[in-house]
Amino acid sequence: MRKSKIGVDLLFIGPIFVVYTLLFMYPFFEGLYYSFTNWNGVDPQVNFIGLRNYVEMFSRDEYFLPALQRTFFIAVLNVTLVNILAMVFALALTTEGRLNNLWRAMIFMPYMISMVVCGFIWRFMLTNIAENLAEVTGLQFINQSWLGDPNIVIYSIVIVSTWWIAGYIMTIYIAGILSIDQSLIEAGEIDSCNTWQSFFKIKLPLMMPVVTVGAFLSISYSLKIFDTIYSLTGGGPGKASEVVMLNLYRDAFVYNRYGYGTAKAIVLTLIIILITYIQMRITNAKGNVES
Amino acid sequence: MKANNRSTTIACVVMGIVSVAWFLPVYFMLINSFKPLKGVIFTTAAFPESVYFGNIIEVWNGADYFLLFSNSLIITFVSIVGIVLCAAMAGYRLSRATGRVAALLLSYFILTLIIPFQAVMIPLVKTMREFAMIDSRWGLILVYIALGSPIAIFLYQGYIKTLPYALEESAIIDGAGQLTIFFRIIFPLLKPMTSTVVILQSLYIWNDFLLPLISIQSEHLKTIPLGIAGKFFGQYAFKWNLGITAMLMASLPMLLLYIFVQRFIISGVMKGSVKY
Repeated sequence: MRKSKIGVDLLFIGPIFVVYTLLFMYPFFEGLYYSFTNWNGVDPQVNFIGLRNYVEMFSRDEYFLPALQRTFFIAVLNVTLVNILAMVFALALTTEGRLNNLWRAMIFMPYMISMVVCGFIWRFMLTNIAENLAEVTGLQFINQSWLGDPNIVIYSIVIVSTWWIAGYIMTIYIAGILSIDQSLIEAGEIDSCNTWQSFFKIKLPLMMPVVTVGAFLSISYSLKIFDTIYSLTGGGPGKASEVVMLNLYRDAFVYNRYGYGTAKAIVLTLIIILITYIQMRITNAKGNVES
Repeated sequence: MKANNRSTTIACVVMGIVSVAWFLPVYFMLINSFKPLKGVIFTTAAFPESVYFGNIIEVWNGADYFLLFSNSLIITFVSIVGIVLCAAMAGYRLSRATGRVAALLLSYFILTLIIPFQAVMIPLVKTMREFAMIDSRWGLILVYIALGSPIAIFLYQGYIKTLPYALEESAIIDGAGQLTIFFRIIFPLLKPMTSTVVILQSLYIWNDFLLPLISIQSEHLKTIPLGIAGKFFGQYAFKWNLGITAMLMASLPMLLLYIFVQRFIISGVMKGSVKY
Protein backbone atom coordinates (compact mmCIF):
# COMPACT_ATOMS: atom_id res chain seq x y z
CA MET A 1 0.00 0.00 0.00
CA ARG A 2 2.70 2.43 1.05
CA LYS A 3 4.85 1.64 -1.97
CA SER A 4 2.05 2.27 -4.44
CA LYS A 5 1.35 5.62 -2.78
CA ILE A 6 4.89 6.78 -3.51
CA GLY A 7 4.40 5.55 -7.06
CA VAL A 8 1.31 7.72 -7.40
CA ASP A 9 3.13 10.73 -5.99
CA LEU A 10 5.94 10.21 -8.45
CA LEU A 11 3.48 10.03 -11.30
CA PHE A 12 1.55 13.15 -10.20
CA ILE A 13 4.31 15.40 -8.88
CA GLY A 14 7.42 13.91 -10.47
CA PRO A 15 7.23 15.41 -14.00
CA ILE A 16 6.78 19.01 -12.94
CA PHE A 17 9.30 18.58 -10.13
CA VAL A 18 11.95 17.52 -12.64
CA VAL A 19 11.12 20.21 -15.22
CA TYR A 20 10.94 22.95 -12.60
CA THR A 21 14.15 21.87 -10.89
CA LEU A 22 16.16 21.59 -14.11
CA LEU A 23 14.84 24.72 -15.81
CA PHE A 24 14.32 27.06 -12.90
CA MET A 25 16.08 26.16 -9.67
CA TYR A 26 19.20 24.73 -11.29
CA PRO A 27 19.88 27.82 -13.44
CA PHE A 28 19.07 30.00 -10.45
CA PHE A 29 21.76 28.43 -8.27
CA GLU A 30 24.13 28.21 -11.19
CA GLY A 31 23.58 31.93 -11.71
CA LEU A 32 24.43 32.60 -8.08
CA TYR A 33 27.76 30.87 -8.69
CA TYR A 34 28.43 32.62 -12.02
CA SER A 35 27.82 36.01 -10.45
CA PHE A 36 31.14 35.45 -8.65
CA THR A 37 33.01 34.67 -11.88
CA ASN A 38 34.13 36.50 -14.99
CA TRP A 39 32.51 33.96 -17.33
CA ASN A 40 31.85 35.27 -20.84
CA GLY A 41 29.17 32.78 -21.82
CA VAL A 42 31.21 30.79 -24.31
CA ASP A 43 34.62 30.07 -22.83
CA PRO A 44 34.93 26.76 -20.94
CA GLN A 45 37.42 28.58 -18.70
CA VAL A 46 35.58 30.14 -15.75
CA ASN A 47 37.53 32.16 -13.19
CA PHE A 48 36.26 32.71 -9.69
CA ILE A 49 36.76 36.39 -8.91
CA GLY A 50 34.92 36.72 -5.61
CA LEU A 51 32.88 39.86 -5.11
CA ARG A 52 34.59 41.79 -7.87
CA ASN A 53 31.47 41.94 -10.10
CA TYR A 54 29.42 43.32 -7.24
CA VAL A 55 32.07 45.87 -6.36
CA GLU A 56 32.47 46.91 -10.00
CA MET A 57 28.79 47.69 -10.61
CA PHE A 58 28.63 49.99 -7.62
CA SER A 59 31.99 51.71 -8.08
CA ARG A 60 33.39 51.66 -11.61
CA ASP A 61 30.32 51.09 -13.80
CA GLU A 62 29.22 54.50 -15.01
CA TYR A 63 25.88 53.21 -16.36
CA PHE A 64 24.58 50.89 -13.64
CA LEU A 65 23.82 53.30 -10.81
CA PRO A 66 22.12 55.86 -13.08
CA ALA A 67 20.08 53.00 -14.57
CA LEU A 68 19.11 51.85 -11.09
CA GLN A 69 18.12 55.36 -10.09
CA ARG A 70 16.10 55.75 -13.28
CA THR A 71 14.35 52.44 -12.66
CA PHE A 72 13.34 53.58 -9.17
CA PHE A 73 12.10 56.89 -10.53
CA ILE A 74 10.00 55.19 -13.20
CA ALA A 75 8.72 52.66 -10.66
CA VAL A 76 7.62 55.30 -8.15
CA LEU A 77 5.76 57.34 -10.77
CA ASN A 78 4.34 54.27 -12.43
CA VAL A 79 3.13 52.50 -9.30
CA THR A 80 1.52 55.66 -7.94
CA LEU A 81 -0.17 56.59 -11.20
CA VAL A 82 -1.30 53.05 -12.05
CA ASN A 83 -2.79 52.32 -8.65
CA ILE A 84 -4.56 55.66 -8.28
CA LEU A 85 -6.02 55.48 -11.79
CA ALA A 86 -6.95 51.81 -11.39
CA MET A 87 -8.72 52.53 -8.11
CA VAL A 88 -10.59 55.57 -9.43
CA PHE A 89 -11.62 53.69 -12.59
CA ALA A 90 -12.70 50.69 -10.55
CA LEU A 91 -14.86 52.85 -8.27
CA ALA A 92 -16.38 54.72 -11.19
CA LEU A 93 -17.14 51.51 -13.08
CA THR A 94 -18.84 49.69 -10.20
CA THR A 95 -21.67 52.23 -10.17
CA GLU A 96 -24.88 51.46 -12.02
CA GLY A 97 -23.84 53.06 -15.31
CA ARG A 98 -25.17 51.16 -18.30
CA LEU A 99 -22.03 51.40 -20.40
CA ASN A 100 -19.66 50.35 -17.61
CA ASN A 101 -18.91 46.96 -19.13
CA LEU A 102 -17.95 48.56 -22.42
CA TRP A 103 -15.67 51.09 -20.74
CA ARG A 104 -14.08 48.37 -18.65
CA ALA A 105 -13.41 46.28 -21.74
CA MET A 106 -11.82 49.23 -23.56
CA ILE A 107 -9.49 50.12 -20.69
CA PHE A 108 -8.42 46.49 -20.21
CA MET A 109 -7.74 46.01 -23.94
CA PRO A 110 -4.08 47.14 -24.05
CA TYR A 111 -3.24 44.22 -21.74
CA MET A 112 -4.14 41.89 -24.62
CA ILE A 113 -1.31 43.34 -26.72
CA SER A 114 2.29 42.27 -26.33
CA MET A 115 4.38 44.87 -24.46
CA VAL A 116 6.98 44.98 -27.21
CA VAL A 117 4.22 45.77 -29.73
CA CYS A 118 2.82 48.45 -27.39
CA GLY A 119 6.22 50.11 -27.40
CA PHE A 120 6.17 50.33 -31.19
CA ILE A 121 2.57 51.53 -31.34
CA TRP A 122 3.47 54.35 -28.96
CA ARG A 123 6.64 55.17 -30.85
CA PHE A 124 4.30 55.81 -33.75
CA MET A 125 1.87 57.74 -31.53
CA LEU A 126 4.52 59.95 -29.95
CA THR A 127 6.36 60.79 -33.13
CA ASN A 128 4.07 60.76 -36.17
CA ILE A 129 0.62 61.10 -34.62
CA ALA A 130 1.59 63.70 -31.99
CA GLU A 131 3.06 65.99 -34.63
CA ASN A 132 0.12 65.68 -36.97
CA LEU A 133 -2.45 65.92 -34.20
CA ALA A 134 -0.89 69.14 -32.90
CA GLU A 135 -1.06 70.55 -36.40
CA VAL A 136 -4.72 69.58 -36.88
CA THR A 137 -6.03 70.57 -33.44
CA GLY A 138 -3.71 73.50 -32.76
CA LEU A 139 -2.84 72.08 -29.33
CA GLN A 140 0.88 72.75 -29.44
CA PHE A 141 1.73 71.00 -26.14
CA ILE A 142 1.06 67.66 -27.83
CA ASN A 143 3.96 68.29 -30.15
CA GLN A 144 6.85 67.59 -27.80
CA SER A 145 10.01 65.74 -28.48
CA TRP A 146 8.49 62.87 -26.46
CA LEU A 147 11.21 60.37 -27.22
CA GLY A 148 14.08 62.64 -28.19
CA ASP A 149 14.35 64.84 -25.12
CA PRO A 150 16.21 63.12 -22.24
CA ASN A 151 14.09 65.01 -19.71
CA ILE A 152 10.76 64.01 -21.22
CA VAL A 153 11.46 60.45 -22.31
CA ILE A 154 11.05 59.03 -18.78
CA TYR A 155 7.51 60.44 -18.61
CA SER A 156 6.70 58.99 -22.02
CA ILE A 157 7.70 55.58 -20.67
CA VAL A 158 5.44 56.05 -17.66
CA ILE A 159 2.53 56.97 -19.96
CA VAL A 160 3.03 53.88 -22.09
CA SER A 161 3.45 51.44 -19.23
CA THR A 162 0.48 52.91 -17.40
CA TRP A 163 -1.62 52.60 -20.53
CA TRP A 164 -0.68 48.93 -20.77
CA ILE A 165 -1.23 47.77 -17.19
CA ALA A 166 -3.82 50.11 -15.61
CA GLY A 167 -6.75 48.10 -17.00
CA TYR A 168 -5.37 44.89 -15.54
CA ILE A 169 -4.94 46.37 -12.06
CA MET A 170 -8.34 48.05 -12.39
CA THR A 171 -9.93 44.66 -13.08
CA ILE A 172 -8.37 43.29 -9.89
CA TYR A 173 -9.74 46.25 -7.93
CA ILE A 174 -13.19 45.79 -9.45
CA ALA A 175 -13.07 42.18 -8.24
CA GLY A 176 -12.19 43.52 -4.80
CA ILE A 177 -15.06 46.02 -4.74
CA LEU A 178 -17.58 43.43 -5.93
CA SER A 179 -16.51 41.02 -3.18
CA ILE A 180 -17.36 43.55 -0.46
CA ASP A 181 -20.48 42.64 1.45
CA GLN A 182 -23.08 45.10 0.13
CA SER A 183 -24.79 45.37 3.54
CA LEU A 184 -21.69 47.02 5.01
CA ILE A 185 -21.84 49.81 2.44
CA GLU A 186 -25.58 50.18 3.00
CA ALA A 187 -24.99 50.34 6.75
CA GLY A 188 -22.57 53.18 6.07
CA GLU A 189 -25.19 54.95 3.98
CA ILE A 190 -27.73 54.66 6.79
CA ASP A 191 -25.15 56.20 9.13
CA SER A 192 -24.96 58.97 6.51
CA CYS A 193 -21.38 58.33 5.39
CA ASN A 194 -20.43 60.57 2.49
CA THR A 195 -18.66 59.17 -0.57
CA TRP A 196 -15.20 59.88 0.89
CA GLN A 197 -15.97 58.27 4.21
CA SER A 198 -17.58 55.31 2.51
CA PHE A 199 -14.40 54.79 0.50
CA PHE A 200 -11.73 55.40 3.14
CA LYS A 201 -13.55 53.87 6.13
CA ILE A 202 -15.37 50.95 4.55
CA LYS A 203 -14.28 50.01 1.03
CA LEU A 204 -10.53 50.59 1.19
CA PRO A 205 -9.88 48.67 4.43
CA LEU A 206 -11.90 45.73 3.13
CA MET A 207 -10.03 45.91 -0.17
CA MET A 208 -6.58 45.64 1.38
CA PRO A 209 -6.09 42.02 0.18
CA VAL A 210 -6.58 43.05 -3.47
CA VAL A 211 -4.61 46.26 -2.98
CA THR A 212 -1.77 44.01 -1.79
CA VAL A 213 -2.00 42.06 -5.04
CA GLY A 214 -2.33 45.17 -7.21
CA ALA A 215 0.59 46.92 -5.55
CA PHE A 216 2.74 43.79 -5.73
CA LEU A 217 2.04 43.26 -9.44
CA SER A 218 2.61 46.90 -10.38
CA ILE A 219 5.80 47.22 -8.32
CA SER A 220 7.44 44.09 -9.67
CA TYR A 221 6.32 44.94 -13.22
CA SER A 222 7.80 48.44 -12.96
CA LEU A 223 11.12 47.31 -11.52
CA LYS A 224 11.47 44.60 -14.20
CA ILE A 225 10.33 46.80 -17.08
CA PHE A 226 12.10 45.80 -20.30
CA ASP A 227 10.07 45.03 -23.46
CA THR A 228 8.27 48.36 -23.58
CA ILE A 229 11.47 50.39 -23.38
CA TYR A 230 13.34 48.03 -25.70
CA SER A 231 10.92 48.87 -28.50
CA LEU A 232 9.91 52.40 -27.50
CA THR A 233 13.34 54.00 -27.15
CA GLY A 234 15.91 51.21 -27.01
CA GLY A 235 17.25 53.00 -23.93
CA GLY A 236 17.84 56.24 -25.77
CA PRO A 237 18.38 59.02 -26.50
CA GLY A 238 21.91 58.12 -25.46
CA LYS A 239 21.38 56.27 -22.20
CA ALA A 240 18.57 58.57 -21.03
CA SER A 241 15.99 55.79 -20.68
CA GLU A 242 18.20 52.79 -19.99
CA VAL A 243 16.75 50.86 -17.04
CA VAL A 244 18.42 48.07 -15.06
CA MET A 245 16.96 45.24 -17.14
CA LEU A 246 18.13 46.82 -20.38
CA ASN A 247 21.55 47.52 -18.87
CA LEU A 248 22.10 43.94 -17.68
CA TYR A 249 20.62 42.47 -20.86
CA ARG A 250 23.27 44.36 -22.86
CA ASP A 251 26.07 43.28 -20.53
CA ALA A 252 25.13 39.65 -20.87
CA PHE A 253 23.97 39.27 -24.45
CA VAL A 254 25.64 42.13 -26.33
CA TYR A 255 29.00 42.43 -24.51
CA ASN A 256 29.13 38.74 -23.52
CA ARG A 257 29.76 39.45 -19.87
CA TYR A 258 27.50 36.70 -18.52
CA GLY A 259 29.00 36.65 -15.04
CA TYR A 260 28.68 40.38 -14.67
CA GLY A 261 25.14 40.50 -16.09
CA THR A 262 24.08 37.71 -13.76
CA ALA A 263 25.48 39.57 -10.75
CA LYS A 264 23.38 42.58 -11.72
CA ALA A 265 20.32 40.38 -12.15
CA ILE A 266 20.82 39.05 -8.64
CA VAL A 267 21.10 42.56 -7.24
CA LEU A 268 17.86 43.48 -9.05
CA THR A 269 16.21 40.35 -7.65
CA LEU A 270 17.26 41.23 -4.11
CA ILE A 271 15.90 44.75 -4.58
CA ILE A 272 12.56 43.43 -5.88
CA ILE A 273 12.28 40.94 -3.01
CA LEU A 274 13.12 43.61 -0.44
CA ILE A 275 10.71 46.22 -1.80
CA THR A 276 7.80 43.83 -2.33
CA TYR A 277 8.42 42.36 1.14
CA ILE A 278 8.18 45.83 2.72
CA GLN A 279 5.09 46.57 0.63
CA MET A 280 3.41 43.31 1.72
CA ARG A 281 4.17 44.09 5.37
CA ILE A 282 2.57 47.51 5.03
CA THR A 283 -0.53 46.60 2.99
CA ASN A 284 -1.17 43.35 4.86
CA ALA A 285 -0.81 45.02 8.26
CA LYS A 286 -3.26 47.75 7.26
CA GLY A 287 -5.75 45.10 6.17
CA ASN A 288 -5.41 43.16 9.41
CA VAL A 289 -5.79 46.11 11.74
CA GLU A 290 -9.12 47.03 10.23
CA SER A 291 -10.65 43.57 10.08
CA MET B 1 -31.39 59.30 -4.69
CA LYS B 2 -31.40 61.99 -7.35
CA ALA B 3 -27.85 63.09 -6.45
CA ASN B 4 -26.80 59.48 -6.71
CA ASN B 5 -28.25 59.23 -10.21
CA ARG B 6 -26.44 62.35 -11.29
CA SER B 7 -23.07 61.17 -9.99
CA THR B 8 -23.60 57.86 -11.80
CA THR B 9 -24.19 59.76 -15.04
CA ILE B 10 -21.13 61.95 -14.49
CA ALA B 11 -19.00 58.88 -13.74
CA CYS B 12 -20.27 57.22 -16.89
CA VAL B 13 -19.52 60.22 -19.10
CA VAL B 14 -16.06 60.80 -17.62
CA MET B 15 -15.19 57.13 -17.96
CA GLY B 16 -16.45 57.27 -21.53
CA ILE B 17 -13.94 60.01 -22.32
CA VAL B 18 -11.18 58.06 -20.55
CA SER B 19 -12.05 54.90 -22.49
CA VAL B 20 -12.00 56.69 -25.81
CA ALA B 21 -8.59 58.18 -24.92
CA TRP B 22 -7.42 54.68 -23.98
CA PHE B 23 -8.57 53.39 -27.33
CA LEU B 24 -6.85 56.12 -29.41
CA PRO B 25 -3.49 54.36 -29.96
CA VAL B 26 -5.30 51.28 -31.27
CA TYR B 27 -7.55 53.49 -33.41
CA PHE B 28 -4.60 55.31 -35.00
CA MET B 29 -2.83 52.01 -35.60
CA LEU B 30 -5.96 50.70 -37.27
CA ILE B 31 -6.59 53.63 -39.62
CA ASN B 32 -2.96 54.05 -40.64
CA SER B 33 -2.64 50.41 -41.60
CA PHE B 34 -4.97 51.13 -44.50
CA LYS B 35 -3.10 54.14 -45.90
CA PRO B 36 -0.15 54.18 -48.28
CA LEU B 37 3.17 55.60 -46.98
CA LYS B 38 2.34 59.13 -48.13
CA GLY B 39 -0.90 59.15 -46.18
CA VAL B 40 0.79 57.78 -43.07
CA ILE B 41 3.37 60.54 -43.15
CA PHE B 42 1.34 63.60 -44.16
CA THR B 43 -2.18 62.94 -42.88
CA THR B 44 -1.39 60.66 -39.95
CA ALA B 45 -4.30 61.65 -37.73
CA ALA B 46 -6.90 61.73 -40.50
CA PHE B 47 -9.33 58.99 -41.40
CA PRO B 48 -8.19 57.28 -44.64
CA GLU B 49 -9.86 58.58 -47.81
CA SER B 50 -9.85 55.17 -49.40
CA VAL B 51 -9.03 51.72 -48.08
CA TYR B 52 -5.57 50.55 -49.14
CA PHE B 53 -4.64 46.89 -48.69
CA GLY B 54 -1.07 47.13 -49.97
CA ASN B 55 0.52 47.23 -46.49
CA ILE B 56 -1.26 44.15 -45.27
CA ILE B 57 -0.31 42.17 -48.34
CA GLU B 58 3.31 43.24 -48.11
CA VAL B 59 3.60 42.46 -44.38
CA TRP B 60 1.81 39.13 -44.84
CA ASN B 61 4.37 38.09 -47.45
CA GLY B 62 7.39 39.84 -46.01
CA ALA B 63 7.10 38.63 -42.43
CA ASP B 64 5.93 35.12 -43.27
CA TYR B 65 3.01 35.93 -41.02
CA PHE B 66 1.35 32.55 -41.22
CA LEU B 67 4.50 30.82 -39.99
CA LEU B 68 4.91 33.22 -37.06
CA PHE B 69 1.26 32.78 -36.19
CA SER B 70 1.42 28.99 -36.20
CA ASN B 71 4.61 29.02 -34.11
CA SER B 72 2.95 31.23 -31.52
CA LEU B 73 -0.15 29.06 -31.57
CA ILE B 74 1.70 25.75 -31.19
CA ILE B 75 3.99 27.03 -28.44
CA THR B 76 1.15 28.64 -26.48
CA PHE B 77 -1.21 25.70 -26.86
CA VAL B 78 1.23 22.92 -25.93
CA SER B 79 2.65 24.95 -23.02
CA ILE B 80 -0.84 25.57 -21.65
CA VAL B 81 -1.82 21.91 -21.90
CA GLY B 82 1.43 21.03 -20.11
CA ILE B 83 0.93 23.62 -17.39
CA VAL B 84 -2.69 22.65 -16.72
CA LEU B 85 -1.94 18.90 -16.57
CA CYS B 86 1.26 19.14 -14.52
CA ALA B 87 -0.09 21.75 -12.13
CA ALA B 88 -3.52 20.19 -11.59
CA MET B 89 -2.00 16.75 -10.90
CA ALA B 90 0.69 18.07 -8.57
CA GLY B 91 -1.73 20.48 -6.91
CA TYR B 92 -4.16 17.60 -6.28
CA ARG B 93 -1.58 15.36 -4.58
CA LEU B 94 -0.12 18.25 -2.59
CA SER B 95 -3.51 19.38 -1.30
CA ARG B 96 -4.50 15.87 -0.19
CA ALA B 97 -1.18 15.07 1.48
CA THR B 98 -0.63 16.17 5.05
CA GLY B 99 3.03 15.32 5.70
CA ARG B 100 5.92 17.70 6.11
CA VAL B 101 7.34 16.70 2.71
CA ALA B 102 4.23 17.98 0.96
CA ALA B 103 4.45 21.32 2.76
CA LEU B 104 8.12 21.59 1.86
CA LEU B 105 7.44 20.75 -1.77
CA LEU B 106 4.74 23.39 -1.95
CA SER B 107 7.06 26.10 -0.64
CA TYR B 108 9.74 24.87 -3.04
CA PHE B 109 7.36 25.49 -5.95
CA ILE B 110 6.15 28.81 -4.56
CA LEU B 111 9.70 30.17 -4.60
CA THR B 112 8.95 31.31 -8.17
CA LEU B 113 6.59 33.91 -6.76
CA ILE B 114 9.61 35.48 -5.08
CA ILE B 115 12.41 34.87 -7.58
CA PRO B 116 11.67 36.78 -10.77
CA PHE B 117 12.42 35.24 -14.15
CA GLN B 118 15.13 37.86 -14.66
CA ALA B 119 17.32 36.21 -12.00
CA VAL B 120 17.27 32.97 -13.94
CA MET B 121 17.30 34.33 -17.47
CA ILE B 122 21.03 34.53 -18.21
CA PRO B 123 22.12 31.14 -16.80
CA LEU B 124 18.96 29.60 -18.29
CA VAL B 125 20.38 30.16 -21.77
CA LYS B 126 23.41 28.07 -20.80
CA THR B 127 21.24 25.37 -19.24
CA MET B 128 19.10 25.23 -22.39
CA ARG B 129 22.25 24.88 -24.46
CA GLU B 130 23.46 22.01 -22.25
CA PHE B 131 20.19 20.12 -22.74
CA ALA B 132 20.13 20.90 -26.49
CA MET B 133 16.95 22.91 -25.91
CA ILE B 134 18.16 26.22 -27.24
CA ASP B 135 16.61 27.41 -30.50
CA SER B 136 13.86 24.80 -30.42
CA ARG B 137 10.11 24.83 -29.90
CA TRP B 138 10.30 22.04 -27.33
CA GLY B 139 12.88 23.90 -25.31
CA LEU B 140 10.72 27.00 -25.21
CA ILE B 141 7.63 24.99 -24.27
CA LEU B 142 9.38 23.18 -21.42
CA VAL B 143 10.68 26.46 -20.00
CA TYR B 144 7.17 27.95 -20.15
CA ILE B 145 5.88 24.90 -18.29
CA ALA B 146 8.60 25.31 -15.66
CA LEU B 147 7.82 29.01 -15.27
CA GLY B 148 4.02 28.81 -15.33
CA SER B 149 3.24 25.65 -13.36
CA PRO B 150 4.30 26.70 -9.85
CA ILE B 151 1.77 29.55 -9.64
CA ALA B 152 -0.87 27.26 -11.12
CA ILE B 153 -0.01 24.55 -8.56
CA PHE B 154 -0.51 27.13 -5.85
CA LEU B 155 -3.91 28.17 -7.24
CA TYR B 156 -5.06 24.57 -7.80
CA GLN B 157 -4.08 23.21 -4.41
CA GLY B 158 -5.87 26.07 -2.68
CA TYR B 159 -8.96 25.38 -4.76
CA ILE B 160 -8.91 21.59 -4.28
CA LYS B 161 -8.78 22.06 -0.51
CA THR B 162 -12.25 23.57 -0.71
CA LEU B 163 -13.65 20.46 -2.47
CA PRO B 164 -15.28 17.79 -0.25
CA TYR B 165 -13.21 14.66 0.22
CA ALA B 166 -16.33 12.45 0.20
CA LEU B 167 -16.41 12.34 -3.60
CA GLU B 168 -13.05 10.65 -3.82
CA GLU B 169 -13.76 8.37 -0.86
CA SER B 170 -16.69 6.72 -2.53
CA ALA B 171 -14.62 6.23 -5.69
CA ILE B 172 -11.80 4.65 -3.68
CA ILE B 173 -14.29 2.26 -2.08
CA ASP B 174 -15.47 1.37 -5.59
CA GLY B 175 -11.86 0.43 -6.30
CA ALA B 176 -11.04 3.18 -8.77
CA GLY B 177 -7.34 3.93 -9.36
CA GLN B 178 -5.78 7.30 -8.58
CA LEU B 179 -5.57 8.30 -12.24
CA THR B 180 -9.22 7.45 -12.82
CA ILE B 181 -10.24 9.41 -9.73
CA PHE B 182 -8.23 12.40 -10.84
CA PHE B 183 -9.38 12.53 -14.44
CA ARG B 184 -12.99 11.42 -13.88
CA ILE B 185 -13.85 13.22 -10.66
CA ILE B 186 -11.35 15.90 -9.67
CA PHE B 187 -10.26 17.42 -12.97
CA PRO B 188 -13.79 18.31 -14.20
CA LEU B 189 -14.45 20.05 -10.87
CA LEU B 190 -11.40 22.26 -11.40
CA LYS B 191 -12.88 23.96 -14.44
CA PRO B 192 -13.24 27.45 -12.88
CA MET B 193 -9.61 27.43 -11.77
CA THR B 194 -8.46 25.92 -15.07
CA SER B 195 -10.06 28.71 -17.06
CA THR B 196 -8.24 31.30 -14.94
CA VAL B 197 -4.91 29.50 -15.36
CA VAL B 198 -5.46 29.17 -19.11
CA ILE B 199 -6.33 32.85 -19.55
CA LEU B 200 -3.49 34.31 -17.47
CA GLN B 201 -0.85 31.96 -18.85
CA SER B 202 -1.95 32.27 -22.50
CA LEU B 203 -1.77 36.04 -22.30
CA TYR B 204 1.73 35.80 -20.87
CA ILE B 205 3.07 33.14 -23.23
CA TRP B 206 1.48 34.45 -26.44
CA ASN B 207 2.73 37.99 -25.79
CA ASP B 208 6.10 37.11 -24.27
CA PHE B 209 9.10 38.67 -25.96
CA LEU B 210 12.05 38.21 -23.60
CA LEU B 211 12.34 34.42 -23.54
CA PRO B 212 12.08 33.95 -27.32
CA LEU B 213 14.52 36.86 -27.73
CA ILE B 214 17.25 35.11 -25.76
CA SER B 215 16.58 31.53 -26.81
CA ILE B 216 15.42 31.53 -30.46
CA GLN B 217 17.65 32.43 -33.40
CA SER B 218 16.19 30.55 -36.39
CA GLU B 219 13.78 32.61 -38.47
CA HIS B 220 11.43 29.64 -38.93
CA LEU B 221 10.97 29.19 -35.15
CA LYS B 222 10.18 32.78 -34.20
CA THR B 223 6.95 33.78 -32.49
CA ILE B 224 4.82 36.78 -33.45
CA PRO B 225 6.30 39.31 -30.97
CA LEU B 226 9.88 38.32 -31.78
CA GLY B 227 9.45 37.95 -35.56
CA ILE B 228 7.56 41.21 -36.00
CA ALA B 229 9.82 43.22 -33.70
CA GLY B 230 12.85 41.95 -35.62
CA LYS B 231 11.34 43.09 -38.91
CA PHE B 232 10.71 46.48 -37.42
CA PHE B 233 14.34 47.02 -36.52
CA GLY B 234 15.42 45.72 -39.92
CA GLN B 235 13.50 46.21 -43.13
CA TYR B 236 10.63 48.33 -41.84
CA ALA B 237 12.76 50.81 -39.90
CA PHE B 238 11.81 53.83 -42.01
CA LYS B 239 8.64 52.51 -43.61
CA TRP B 240 6.09 53.51 -41.00
CA ASN B 241 3.17 52.29 -43.10
CA LEU B 242 4.54 48.74 -43.02
CA GLY B 243 5.72 49.05 -39.43
CA ILE B 244 2.36 50.08 -38.05
CA THR B 245 0.58 47.47 -40.17
CA ALA B 246 2.92 44.84 -38.76
CA MET B 247 1.93 45.97 -35.26
CA LEU B 248 -1.74 45.68 -36.16
CA MET B 249 -1.23 42.17 -37.48
CA ALA B 250 0.81 41.23 -34.40
CA SER B 251 -1.97 42.28 -32.05
CA LEU B 252 -4.91 41.27 -34.24
CA PRO B 253 -5.27 37.61 -33.12
CA MET B 254 -5.54 38.61 -29.45
CA LEU B 255 -7.77 41.62 -30.18
CA LEU B 256 -10.18 39.51 -32.24
CA LEU B 257 -10.25 36.87 -29.53
CA TYR B 258 -10.88 39.64 -27.02
CA ILE B 259 -13.88 40.97 -28.93
CA PHE B 260 -15.56 37.57 -28.76
CA VAL B 261 -14.65 36.30 -25.28
CA GLN B 262 -14.03 39.58 -23.48
CA ARG B 263 -16.34 38.80 -20.54
CA PHE B 264 -14.77 35.40 -20.07
CA ILE B 265 -11.24 36.85 -20.04
CA ILE B 266 -12.05 39.64 -17.60
CA SER B 267 -13.90 37.31 -15.23
CA GLY B 268 -10.94 34.90 -15.37
CA VAL B 269 -8.56 37.69 -14.39
CA MET B 270 -10.91 38.72 -11.59
CA LYS B 271 -11.13 35.19 -10.19
CA GLY B 272 -7.37 34.77 -10.29
CA SER B 273 -6.69 37.99 -8.42
CA VAL B 274 -8.86 37.26 -5.40
CA LYS B 275 -7.33 33.79 -5.01
CA TYR B 276 -3.71 34.94 -4.78
